[in-house]
Amino acid sequence: MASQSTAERYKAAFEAQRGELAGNGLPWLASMRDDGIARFGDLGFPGKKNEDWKYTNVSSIAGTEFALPDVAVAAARRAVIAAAVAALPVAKREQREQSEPSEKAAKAEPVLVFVDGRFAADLCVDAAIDGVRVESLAALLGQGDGAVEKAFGQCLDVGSHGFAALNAAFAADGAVVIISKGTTAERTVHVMHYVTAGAASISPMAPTVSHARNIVVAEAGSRARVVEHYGGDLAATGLTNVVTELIIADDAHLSHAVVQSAPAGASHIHRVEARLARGSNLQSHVVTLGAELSRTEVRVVLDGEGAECTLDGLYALADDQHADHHTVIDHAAPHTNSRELYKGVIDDDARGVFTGRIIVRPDSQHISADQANRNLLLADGAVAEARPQLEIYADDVKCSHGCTVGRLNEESMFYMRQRGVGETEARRLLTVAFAGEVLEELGDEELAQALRKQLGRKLQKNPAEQQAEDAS
Amino acid sequence: MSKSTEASDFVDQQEEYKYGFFSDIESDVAPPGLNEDIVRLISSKKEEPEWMLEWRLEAFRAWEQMNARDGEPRWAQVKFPPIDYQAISYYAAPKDKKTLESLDEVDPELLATFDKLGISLNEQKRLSGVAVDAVFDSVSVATTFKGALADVGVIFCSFSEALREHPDLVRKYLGTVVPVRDNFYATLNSAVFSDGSFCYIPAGVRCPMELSTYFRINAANTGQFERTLIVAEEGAHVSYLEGCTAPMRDENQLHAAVVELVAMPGANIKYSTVQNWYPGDKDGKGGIYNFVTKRGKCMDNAKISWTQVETGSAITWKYPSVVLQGDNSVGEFYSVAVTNNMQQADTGTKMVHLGKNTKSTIISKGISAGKAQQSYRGLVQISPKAENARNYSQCDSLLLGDKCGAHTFPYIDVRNASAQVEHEASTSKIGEDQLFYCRQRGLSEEDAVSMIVNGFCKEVFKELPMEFAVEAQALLGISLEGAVG
Amino acid sequence: MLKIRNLHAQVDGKDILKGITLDVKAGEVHAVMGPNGSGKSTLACVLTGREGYVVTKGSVEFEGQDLLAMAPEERAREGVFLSFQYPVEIPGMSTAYFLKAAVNAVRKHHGLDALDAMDFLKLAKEKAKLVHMDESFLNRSVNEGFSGGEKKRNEIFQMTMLEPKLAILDETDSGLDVDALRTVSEGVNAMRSPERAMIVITHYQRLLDHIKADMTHVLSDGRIVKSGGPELALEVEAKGYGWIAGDSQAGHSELAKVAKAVEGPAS
Repeated sequence: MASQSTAERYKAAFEAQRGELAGNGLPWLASMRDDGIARFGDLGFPGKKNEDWKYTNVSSIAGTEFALPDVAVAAARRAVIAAAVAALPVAKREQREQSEPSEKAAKAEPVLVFVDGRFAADLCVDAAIDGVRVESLAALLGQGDGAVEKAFGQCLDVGSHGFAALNAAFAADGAVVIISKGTTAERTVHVMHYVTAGAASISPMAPTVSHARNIVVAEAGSRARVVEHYGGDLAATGLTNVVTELIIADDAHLSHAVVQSAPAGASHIHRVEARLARGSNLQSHVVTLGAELSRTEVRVVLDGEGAECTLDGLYALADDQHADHHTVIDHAAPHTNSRELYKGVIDDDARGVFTGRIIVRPDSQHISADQANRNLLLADGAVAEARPQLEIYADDVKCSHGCTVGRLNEESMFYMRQRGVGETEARRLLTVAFAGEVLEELGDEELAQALRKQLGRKLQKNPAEQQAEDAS
Repeated sequence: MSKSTEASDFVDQQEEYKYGFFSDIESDVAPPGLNEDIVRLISSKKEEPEWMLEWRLEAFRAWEQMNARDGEPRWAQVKFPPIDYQAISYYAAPKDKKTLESLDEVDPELLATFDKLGISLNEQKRLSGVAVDAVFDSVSVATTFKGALADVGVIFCSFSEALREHPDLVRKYLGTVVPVRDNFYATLNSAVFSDGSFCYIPAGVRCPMELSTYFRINAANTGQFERTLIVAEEGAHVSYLEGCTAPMRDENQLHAAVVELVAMPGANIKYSTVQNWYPGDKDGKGGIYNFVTKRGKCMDNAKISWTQVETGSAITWKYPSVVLQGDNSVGEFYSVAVTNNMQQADTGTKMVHLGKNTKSTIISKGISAGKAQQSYRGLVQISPKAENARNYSQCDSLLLGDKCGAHTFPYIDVRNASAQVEHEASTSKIGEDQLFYCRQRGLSEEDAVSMIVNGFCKEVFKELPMEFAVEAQALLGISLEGAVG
Repeated sequence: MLKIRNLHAQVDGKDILKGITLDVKAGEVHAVMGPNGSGKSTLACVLTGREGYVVTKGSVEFEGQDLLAMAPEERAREGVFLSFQYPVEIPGMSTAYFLKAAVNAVRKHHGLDALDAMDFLKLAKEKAKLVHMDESFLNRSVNEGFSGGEKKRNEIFQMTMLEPKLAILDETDSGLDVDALRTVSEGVNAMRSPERAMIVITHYQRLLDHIKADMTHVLSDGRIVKSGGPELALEVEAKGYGWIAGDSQAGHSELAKVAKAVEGPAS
């Protein structure tokens, strides 16, 4: 139960804002929003007693009075954000291909940009892909688009916790990607969410909140790749509460990635929900590098026979970062397979939480599910908490999970040092190699390379010490 | 062509629970209900010292608060209707007014009951090298080999007797491992426990024989709340076994025991359980609710090893744990849990690493058949000061039939970077190819299943003392008979 | 002893055996050869009652009884033994314990008293020598951690313990080096007797250098396309299966003619 004040506060904010939210006139959406705010009234923010949130304390979020994002701030930061968009690995790929200008237009990858949860048309990289619609949710809601009405909220379990309920109440913008039947999208669709350092009109640093909703519809037999990037101003401290819905039709193949490099002081709550129809395939990737407090949920329902999913995740944490990864794979149909690998690199006083639940429903026979969680602790203050869970209600299954927590292999360390590599460097190289397994699965070498570099920089916190080490 | 392997074809052939007889022994039963007067009555019946009564009353008051505030814990993966704690009788004892001088004076009907269970209290027909303490309903009725044990300074007696003969020892250790307010059922036990076993092994002594307690619930509408306390002083070694059975009754009976183990520096305690309480009939009617708290504390260089074979009870809720407080201490947990028909079990362990160079091993084998639901729930916690801690866990589940469930909920919590923690779990059904291979050699499907299951559990069985290993294997066969074909 | 008549069988709805007719008499050794996928192992599985192999047509009679109506263990107790191509590992179950249970199940079926542990062990040690197996394997889990050669020797060892009437050896030579092949063959040859029949399934002729077959059958696409004496095996080895089965469409029509000739009026 939310304390009266929190629930009331959000209810009042909702009543004040709803008239401004995109799609306000749509009756189907209004009832979903009403349901969302009512559910939040019942649930409040998850507390310690909630078994699913046992290791993640969100009282700092619950206690903060967030401001509404200020459009003026977005405008003022335009140049910085444009640079961030340009720095995405996708942009580089485009430059490289400029040597063949004739093909440039054809090969460009579209980037949809959102600032503090709102669509920023002027910052986007436009590049049409045949058979793929890439648009802003707000725009489509404004047009009363039928495809959005059909997809919106189809996967989201509003009642599962307060953050999901709040998103249901407030979500009005985000990316919509619809891959039409039978289309193979050769190029990746990118979505960039940027959070700025506060609503300047209220006070210079007032933290803001946004509730974006991204929707990807992969129609029957289609094939595509979508990458969501999260970043922002270094000083930003706001809350990003995102929901991504992935609706994957018969025989469709979707590769989906969330690359979270949110500012060090920000909070990031992200829920990815996917529903897979017969014979379809999802490759889900989560890479968590940023945010002070983050919770990333990937919940997959394998709803049709022959559906398969692969979940890969990497969290690299330092300082006092707290990252909670929570995955649920629900084998709701027979002959469904899943494989999952989440790896954590935890340094300083950071804390990495992993919960991976595999459910096999009664009568879901012929199931194969394999899950692994591997954690590397780099410092004494680092904490890893892991809860792999198997819930099996059918018998013709082959399910397994493994979980390890430990240090770098001493033998490998010695081997590298014996060949003359400094200890710090050896540690860094081995750690990047440990993480590399997950990055390779991204299937996008450009992106993987960029992330490897970012990870290497993150691990190299004391350059002076390292130089001395390397010189010796 | 080939015979169907559907489990459902065979579930109806479930063999009767072998220990489901009821002994007609006059017993002294307290009226149902729980209040301070009952707690006082139990304490006075047992002629306890004043401090013991105060301890019980403190527990009772704490339990009342817990009951009013949250009620029974509901986090485990088991379902049962609310228990009416006022409908249970908290004390039942075989009626026998005089104090027994020797086994010859024990009610022959009672001796016959234990004989039927395969536990001979008669020292001439004793299990070789096993001293037995028999607890009937709530009261210890006989302890064998006391003389031989006393010669080396080992105290092995009923808890009531320990309170009379060694009150200071009991007072020193009671509640030091499982505190009064530990959890709902442990607190209830602290208020109303009636008897149990007490063992004390002096420093440097290797207990010359296996110590064993046999628990039997007989009377109807009673709960059994026994309390066991084992203290192994510095460098002492002891191996302790417990077995349990109950008659078949249509209503559920509550069993909420507490076991505390104290292993002082260099001590070694091995605690084995074969739990075969009445599981209820195939439709889930009747059976024991087995809500047990077991925990041991290890000081420097000490070792505690829990081995359990859980085949009985309608519901099992039990997590034998080890607090590795001392440096270089070792904790082990070996478990086989079998659930069939409508049985439910939520069981596992907690290994709490506090000291340096502490090690723990968890091997859990779960077998689920019929419509049973079984969960492994285990915690491995490495505290910030536990340098170089090691844990290895392996949890395997075997499914027999498509109506049962097997779940695994490990909690791994590591707060020290020098730790190495490894957890592996698997869930599968008996391999078709294994079954066919055995049948091709002429074995019946049932025998093949039983042999494969025994093989699956072997790592745990080899940890049991010989006498128990044989019993455990036989039990497994009975528990699963008719489960798969 | 064994009468197979126009046997058709499916796996996963796909026709694998398409009309096999074969007679095996006591004392005879029959070699069944054929390329991969011709249905050799399927035949072994159907004869021993493995699940998933559905007989759609035809009959199999063993010692005058309907073999197909029996459960796998009944067939085993009646004396049908299969040496598996891939012997199964059973963790935690010792070979001695497993085999004692099997031997006693068969003995009980024939109204004989169970062997006690002592007698069993004595017999097992004696038989183990035949296949040059170290006694220590009796205490190891069934096939677990065994090398390929050890697994096959274990199969033959079990055969000598169970003394079947009909032994089916499915690719017993696969994965064996020359020495192991000789050991296994010696074990098999020691088992030959006028009361016992054998079906030796193999891809290559080399096993047949060691185990002399009375009859050779070539299986292709679920049918016996050629039968002959021991010389047929040598011919196959020299010319390859293409000689009989053919790779081309033309070969297939040739094959069909042969098949018809072999099957006779039964199809």
